Amino acid sequence: MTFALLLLAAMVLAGAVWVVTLRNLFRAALSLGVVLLGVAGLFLLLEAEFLAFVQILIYVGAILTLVVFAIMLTARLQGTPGTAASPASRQRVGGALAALALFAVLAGATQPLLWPEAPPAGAVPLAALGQQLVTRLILPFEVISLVFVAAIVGAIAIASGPPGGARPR
Amino acid sequence: MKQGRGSCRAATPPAVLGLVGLRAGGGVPGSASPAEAILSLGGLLVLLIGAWARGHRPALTASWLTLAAGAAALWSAPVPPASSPFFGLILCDPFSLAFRWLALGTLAIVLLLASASRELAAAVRGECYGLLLLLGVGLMLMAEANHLLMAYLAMELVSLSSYVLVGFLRERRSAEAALKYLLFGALSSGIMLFGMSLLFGLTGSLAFPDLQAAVAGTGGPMARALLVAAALMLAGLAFKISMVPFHMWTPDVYEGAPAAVTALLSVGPKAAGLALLLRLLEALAPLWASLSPLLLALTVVTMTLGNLVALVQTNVKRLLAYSTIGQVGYLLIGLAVHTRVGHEALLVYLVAYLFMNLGAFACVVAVMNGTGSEALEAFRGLARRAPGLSLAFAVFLLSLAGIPPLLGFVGKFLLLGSALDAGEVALAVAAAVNSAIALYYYTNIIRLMYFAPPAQAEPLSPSPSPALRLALGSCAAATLALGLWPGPLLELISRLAVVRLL
Repeated sequence: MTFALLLLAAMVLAGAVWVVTLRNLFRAALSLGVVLLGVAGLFLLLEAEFLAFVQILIYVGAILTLVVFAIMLTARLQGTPGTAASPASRQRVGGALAALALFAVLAGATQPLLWPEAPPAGAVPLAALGQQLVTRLILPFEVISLVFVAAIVGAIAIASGPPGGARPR
Repeated sequence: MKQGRGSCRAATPPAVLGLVGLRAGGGVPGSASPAEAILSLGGLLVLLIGAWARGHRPALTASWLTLAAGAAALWSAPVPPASSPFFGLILCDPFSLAFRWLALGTLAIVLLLASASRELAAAVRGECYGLLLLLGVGLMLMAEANHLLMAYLAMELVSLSSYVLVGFLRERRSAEAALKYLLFGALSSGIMLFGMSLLFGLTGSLAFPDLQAAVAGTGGPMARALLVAAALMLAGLAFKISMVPFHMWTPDVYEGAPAAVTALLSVGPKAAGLALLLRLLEALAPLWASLSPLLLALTVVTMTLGNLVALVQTNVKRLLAYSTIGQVGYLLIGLAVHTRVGHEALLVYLVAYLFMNLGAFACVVAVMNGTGSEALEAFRGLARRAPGLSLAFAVFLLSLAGIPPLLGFVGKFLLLGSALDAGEVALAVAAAVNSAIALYYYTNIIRLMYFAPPAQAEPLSPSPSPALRLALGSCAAATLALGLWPGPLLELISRLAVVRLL
């Protein structure tokens, strides 16, 4: 168990570092896939099988594919892929210090805690989850759809040209 | 608040219930918030009309009808002392009712500005109106949220719509502002989610009343971890209301966005964010002793930084952005003193702020329509070119500065009073000093308008359109009339402000 946890954690961390340091945008996107798969593994370890499944299906299957498509379609606009994504190097020290400080605060705050033993919950049946979604959680469910409509319509409105006009570059 | 578990379905596994921390009880879903439902449906309809109809008039008409129907629904809905429909996910109490009216008022004035704005004329305005209405739903839900999940979703609805609206102009500056806003917003959302998950891990619940009960019973290292979680969560909200360490996005975004959208951003999310912050702090009330020094310090820093940097601005939108940061500092006084008087003062000042700040932005839109410039120089000698507009702008600026007998003075007076009442003399002194600083840059604009020779002598053309006149007139009338006779407003708000927010 601990070995699996360490392995997955190393996978997530290494992938995350690659995402922000690799200069090739395409490789960075593939590293993101490694991170997402690692997180799915962590969910599995936590006995959240459904979440792990959804994580792979949606994040790895759909979102990552979209990211890869976007990179491939816009590669021409960004120039050669080798020089496209250069991480900001000026604030490297400051950023590292801030991240370390945040880590220290979080670790310092959570390390001395004695977490209560989780009760044996058993697997949550999917049908029950679905029922919750359309009964108790109906309001968030609807609001999420509003959020998506706003995001999609907004993205199209910005990306499309003005009514009847040419599209500026 | 009903807490009966009678309606809880026998088949529901308790693990799922515990996971999201929901409570059974409340009314039938759907009967609770017709105003939000009307605004959502209307917003979607306006989006459709905007896509299919020619010109922006049909979409605009549909938006106004939606707003009117929403206002009618809000007016006719009975207000019980507090009811928590949708299984306690939201809380409809007099406090949230006040903020729902504020959101509706903001929407109405911003709709006037957006329809009159010339810079938005080339944009797809139907979509703009539809997104405005959806944003309004988010604002209302933010003020009503009684559950962290709901609070987060409402904030995301507001944020995503505002990112899009900021980038609506086909200019590099607008796109850059939208991108900056998106990146900062995503970062702060992430920080906030981190805090929320930590809080959930510590307390085992997401519902505000349960959070309060769980927080009250902790101590030792648990309390320290709770404090970290609370600080992370407040960071996300601080971004929304541009409180100081998280204000950096404000001037750039305000400058790049269309002026009508800037007007919305400077009032709507600020009011809703303060409402949510107030409720969240109530849920974390047992931690108040540790949180209040931080809040007091940030309040003073926010108003001082906003007002000092505003002194050197030459772009009117940037100036109003820093002025907004300063005003948020004043508003935070009502929150930081943590008394009923403070809450009342906060509400009064929010009403005043709505009218005077939206009015000021209406003047900016009018001047931008006429001159195409948003530099302070465009206001040089404006009094000779557009006397009515200049007079209105002077009223709004003096009200923002807190000069009697305008409404801004009433609000600021109450805020200072609440600070003194709570024994926070330093806070009151800081606010008074800041008002003096702010008076300088507000009167500087008035000096430019009235005592500087104009670059051009001919009257401003085109003169403000009827929609813009209506916005200017109603804001100026409210600022002046409510400032002279604040009695009814104060009485109304004293009935709406409640001590128990959960």
